[in-house]
Amino acid sequence: MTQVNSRNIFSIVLPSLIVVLAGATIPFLVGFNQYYVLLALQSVIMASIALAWNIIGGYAGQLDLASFAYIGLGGILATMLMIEHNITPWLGMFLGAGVSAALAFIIGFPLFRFGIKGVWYALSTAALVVILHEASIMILGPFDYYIPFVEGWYYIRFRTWENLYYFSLAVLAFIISLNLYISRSKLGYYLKAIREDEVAAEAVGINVRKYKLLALVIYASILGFIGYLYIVSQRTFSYNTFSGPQSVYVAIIGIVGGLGSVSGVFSAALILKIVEEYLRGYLGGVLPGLHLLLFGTLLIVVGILRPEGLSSLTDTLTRKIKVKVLRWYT
Amino acid sequence: MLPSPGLLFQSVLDGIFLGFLYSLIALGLSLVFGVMGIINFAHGDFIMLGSYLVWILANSLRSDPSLMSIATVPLFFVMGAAIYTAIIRPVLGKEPLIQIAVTVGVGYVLQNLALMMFRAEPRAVQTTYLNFYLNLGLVSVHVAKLISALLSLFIVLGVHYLLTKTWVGLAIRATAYDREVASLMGINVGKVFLLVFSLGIALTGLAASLWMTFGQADPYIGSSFGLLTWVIIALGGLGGVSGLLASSVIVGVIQSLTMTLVSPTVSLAIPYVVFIIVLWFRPQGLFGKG
Amino acid sequence: MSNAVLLEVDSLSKRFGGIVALNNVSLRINEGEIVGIIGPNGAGKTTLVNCVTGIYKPDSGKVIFLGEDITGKPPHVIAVKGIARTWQKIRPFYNMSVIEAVTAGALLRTKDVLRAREEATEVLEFIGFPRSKFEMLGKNITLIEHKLVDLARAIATKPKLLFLDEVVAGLRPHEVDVIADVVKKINREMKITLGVIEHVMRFVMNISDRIVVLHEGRLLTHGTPAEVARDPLVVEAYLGTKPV
Repeated sequence: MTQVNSRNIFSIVLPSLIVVLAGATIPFLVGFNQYYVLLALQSVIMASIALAWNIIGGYAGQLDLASFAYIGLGGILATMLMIEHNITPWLGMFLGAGVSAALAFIIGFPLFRFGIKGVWYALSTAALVVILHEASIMILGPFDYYIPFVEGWYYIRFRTWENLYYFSLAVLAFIISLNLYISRSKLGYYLKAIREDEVAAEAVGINVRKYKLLALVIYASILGFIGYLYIVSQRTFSYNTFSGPQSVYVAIIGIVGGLGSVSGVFSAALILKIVEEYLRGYLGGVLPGLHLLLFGTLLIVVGILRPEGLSSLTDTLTRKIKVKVLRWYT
Repeated sequence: MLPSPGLLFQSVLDGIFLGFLYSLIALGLSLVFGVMGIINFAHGDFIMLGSYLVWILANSLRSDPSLMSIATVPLFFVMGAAIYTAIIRPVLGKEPLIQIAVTVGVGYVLQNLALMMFRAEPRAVQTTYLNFYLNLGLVSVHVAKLISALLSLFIVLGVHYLLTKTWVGLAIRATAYDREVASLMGINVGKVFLLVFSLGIALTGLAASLWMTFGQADPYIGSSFGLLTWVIIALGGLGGVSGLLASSVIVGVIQSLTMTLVSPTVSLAIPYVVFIIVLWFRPQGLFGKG
Repeated sequence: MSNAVLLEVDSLSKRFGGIVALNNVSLRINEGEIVGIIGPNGAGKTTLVNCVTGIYKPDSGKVIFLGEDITGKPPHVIAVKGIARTWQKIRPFYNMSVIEAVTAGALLRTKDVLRAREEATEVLEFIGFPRSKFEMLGKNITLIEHKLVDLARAIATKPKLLFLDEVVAGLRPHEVDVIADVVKKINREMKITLGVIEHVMRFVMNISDRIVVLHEGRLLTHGTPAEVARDPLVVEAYLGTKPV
């Protein structure tokens, strides 16, 4: 029994450890070239966002299109607290998580209570982003805000990008482990059952509303937390942080990666970010938004031809790696 | 600071006209949803596409945008048929999240296509002949909006007539009600789906030409129209034409009044707040049948 | 020999628009029995089960389980109270494996995932599902395998009362016999009381201790299988004519 338990901890912690170790070498490999370190940072943050989405979208099966509502809310709160009141983001990020969680609860409780799912849920979440977008125009005005230059771990902001990258890597590791943990836990089983068939799930005693709400709040908390990291990596924030199209982008990663597949979503986040950067770099001036066009097409193609996305590929790969690692270990 | 009664009345009137145009858009969406059960997230983006098309055609031919519907309606019908066959039909049996996601993808593609080709600045047609006001004492009626409203109402009632009084309409309603039974009765369900989807898209082509007689095209009007349409459907339920018309007009008037009394920004957000509230308390809409 | 009354349905009525699906239906299910619930199409059998298990709220009447009024409670609460069911139109967990699906059921009573998985394994083995297929996804298994998994998933919640909704529909005769054996085993060895909605006479007459006959939303008659089979009212209900 204990042997199986330790193997479980093994398989939850090890993948994130590998990601952290592999990821930590990147700044060295690129010779601390700031362009590439920033790119790596943004990829890591995107992967974190997509893996958070995996909890509500991949496991619970709800097409949530409001990720940037939560990212914006938590992130802008933490950033403003830092700018206006010199409050450290170490506190601010947790406050951001709390506020986003509260918003998710306020939205989710009535929605799930009235059994709203499928497209009406997707539309409600899309509407939420628009509401926050317009509200923030009124509150923040149509301006771009730049983060003043402050330095140090107190502000989690530095002259170069490496430290923020390492921090974000650690956060990503946590989120990966959280996903893997949930996947094997009672919550994970219940969410997947809800995704597959809510009626059958209820008949085996699953309180569908409660667990959907739980998944939503966990997802929103994570996004509210890393909102600050996102804003710092973008160097500015504005009412446009509450972006509907960006929220759709997150869902695209989650679906193209494969619903519920940690390896698939992780890979999709990295690949799509790299493709985006490549296209933006080489054709951006001529054809803005080409990468988004591509990703939209990708979503259509995946939906029609291969709904499981990248997961079949990446799951087979990770299984082979797991077997090799275990063989090396024993 | 309260605006004059004339201004208020003007605003309400504009809202009603806008509402009728919305009903034309909502009709297509509600038909597709009611008959096929499929949620076309990209419905609004087709209007955006149509608006740009009308902009190009009307400007180059130097004619009124509404006349462009002669081109856009058949074109959009064919396009609808193509999209149904290539994209919608393959996902009909799949899980709802994938179905919705695919139409989200279509919308995303259309939006970014427009962004790439036309950038973000709004475009308006220069040669609209109806862009003037009729002064009727207290109010000025914007003729373009009036004509659009009347035409939309005419078409909506026309489609209603089609659905209730013709054999084709009967086939469509039967399929919406129970597609298994309909097919057992000899109705070719696949053809009905094709027809309904193409009709829905054709209606967006028409709505786009009407919109461009007084409106502007930008890559994001699709999202606006799309979400607004869903608000209308949430309010009106899938019941019938009267519910659709009533909720369209209500939404139009709310939007118009908010724009006049508060600000344009809030007028964009208010319908969605209404949407969420309606979803919470009356999932079947204000007029729906539960 | 008096068994406790497990389920008491008291004057249950349910209508959908103009259609009266259940009209003042009352019946009892005693502990340990296998009660067959039969009747022509549209008799209200599935509606009855849906009302008991919380999918529909009855318009009037009561459902009392182990002395407690559970009328109108939601399905997940009913499951916790100890009533489970299988599905007429199959409801698989397509993208979960067989063992995962049954574990989801077992988790109702067992918090620890590993232990729940063990229980799921035991249940699947008890009903004779081949171990080699435990990891197969719901979308890849055959109809009879679905039925077995559905049964296992329901039993994993450790119910006192289990409703089978046309469990042998669409199965071949020898598959029907397999299910019949499993159902009897469940009743005898797991001490689960059963309500069996069925059309396939051979199956339901074979396994039931008692039969309840519904017709057009009403309780027509009830008795032992032999009694019911001979009852002219029943024959008329099914065939529409009086027996010669």
